[in-house]
Amino acid sequence: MTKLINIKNLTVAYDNLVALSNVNFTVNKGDFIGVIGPNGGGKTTLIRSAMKLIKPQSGTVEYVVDGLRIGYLPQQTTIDKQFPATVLDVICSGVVAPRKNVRPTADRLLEELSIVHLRDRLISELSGGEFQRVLLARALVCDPQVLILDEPTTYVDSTFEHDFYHIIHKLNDKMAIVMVSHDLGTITHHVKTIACVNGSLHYHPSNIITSEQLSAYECPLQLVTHGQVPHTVLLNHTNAIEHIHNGNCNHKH
Amino acid sequence: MIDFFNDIFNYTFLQNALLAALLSAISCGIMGSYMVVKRMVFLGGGITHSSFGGVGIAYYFGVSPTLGALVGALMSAFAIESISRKSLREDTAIGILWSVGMAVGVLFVMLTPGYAPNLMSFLFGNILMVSGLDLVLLAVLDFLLVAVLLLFYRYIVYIAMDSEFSRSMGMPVRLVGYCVMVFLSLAIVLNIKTVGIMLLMSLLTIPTAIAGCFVRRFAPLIAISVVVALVGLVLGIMLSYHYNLPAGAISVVLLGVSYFVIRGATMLLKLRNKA
Repeated sequence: MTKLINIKNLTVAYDNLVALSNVNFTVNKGDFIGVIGPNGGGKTTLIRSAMKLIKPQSGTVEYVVDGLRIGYLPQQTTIDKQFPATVLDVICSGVVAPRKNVRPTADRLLEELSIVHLRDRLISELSGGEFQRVLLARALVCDPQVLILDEPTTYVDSTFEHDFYHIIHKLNDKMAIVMVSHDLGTITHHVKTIACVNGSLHYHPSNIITSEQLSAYECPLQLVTHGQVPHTVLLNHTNAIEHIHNGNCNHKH
Repeated sequence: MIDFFNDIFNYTFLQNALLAALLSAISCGIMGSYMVVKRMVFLGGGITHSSFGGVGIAYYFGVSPTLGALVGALMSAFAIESISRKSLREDTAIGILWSVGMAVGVLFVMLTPGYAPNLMSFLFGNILMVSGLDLVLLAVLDFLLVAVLLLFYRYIVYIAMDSEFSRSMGMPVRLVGYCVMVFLSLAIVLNIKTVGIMLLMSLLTIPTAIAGCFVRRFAPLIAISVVVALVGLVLGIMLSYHYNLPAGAISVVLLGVSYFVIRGATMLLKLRNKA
């Protein structure tokens, strides 16, 4: 398995608040990792660290491949939808290169994501789903080896969500994918492996979440599993269970 | 009106005023477009008004009021930037510096012994009184603004559009932010002479608001803002010369009325097209 990103013993703190503590995390070629965890648990900190946007207190973030290209789909709230720009402008902004060099790739992505008809539309005129496709195209225009998605389906309806995951699965043939989500039910249907983040990280080499893994949440929540018969289990965690995951999944209910 | 065109060739102050109109239109059009799309209008207002504190202090100590305004503007720009990064909400920080700056300015001007300087010219400007030095400084600023815009257009637009994403691509987001603050302060201070502190906000916002009725992408927005600001200022100078009224105020009223008329017309057109 070819390693792409290798994070070792990473500790990140904001002022005095430790967001991530001694985390090890690896992204390999072909991975489709779902990053889950409670709000404020460090999901976004983890992916921002993976992109080297945050200076860690200790530990290392290593790109095993030289000049690793990372595509990033941030939460929709970071971009001002009223900004006077067209769909093509936004897609071309995915790489810092003269526009004429980016244009062929941008045109190909417009086709692949079925948004050619939106090319000259202002972003303020797009629906949530259309806009998300545009932002996905922007993330893909650098031809990434790793695609990082932060809560990609928060602002979209379920029809779009279905199409979106279909696209992401196809992309996974060409690139590793790291997807942050709080939507356990959906994420477990799609990802290959799961990383549970709540200060520390619990890596889970399958897409089945066990009660032990959910202890990272430290709160009542619904457990989703995909055994022979997919089923959901309601849990009521009141106390955190100290947990060292050994890779074997024994879900308890 | 024919008098005006004849007099242009006879009076240096009219030539200076028209040149000042062009130079102000360029800097206000560029910075104004950026402020409007970045929703920084209130921030610009704060820097503009608090720079008056620097003016007052400069008068008191007998140094150049323009230099005082520049120091005041830069200090308030960076104060707003750093305060809002930490504990205080940005709009609160702006509100405080806005009013305190004005108050400090008034107090120091009143404390200055002897001849009381003409406050009105700072508050409302007088484009017919700009000096050769003012013009040179404005020209240098315009040259720098246009050069930076042409050289770094992609960076500036991408960061303005989505700073978080730009940071992920390794763009110098914070550096660009500070550069914008410096340019905004410079543009504000050097344009105070033309329309004054009170009216500058309109020159930074109304031309872009009018341009926004016709075009909706960033580059043409800047170009049309510059043209609209220029037309407004030149008409202001002409009417002011003819009727002996303050040029800045006339320009602002003209621009404001034009905005409402154009906005109303475009909305009516849209309604008619829908029907």
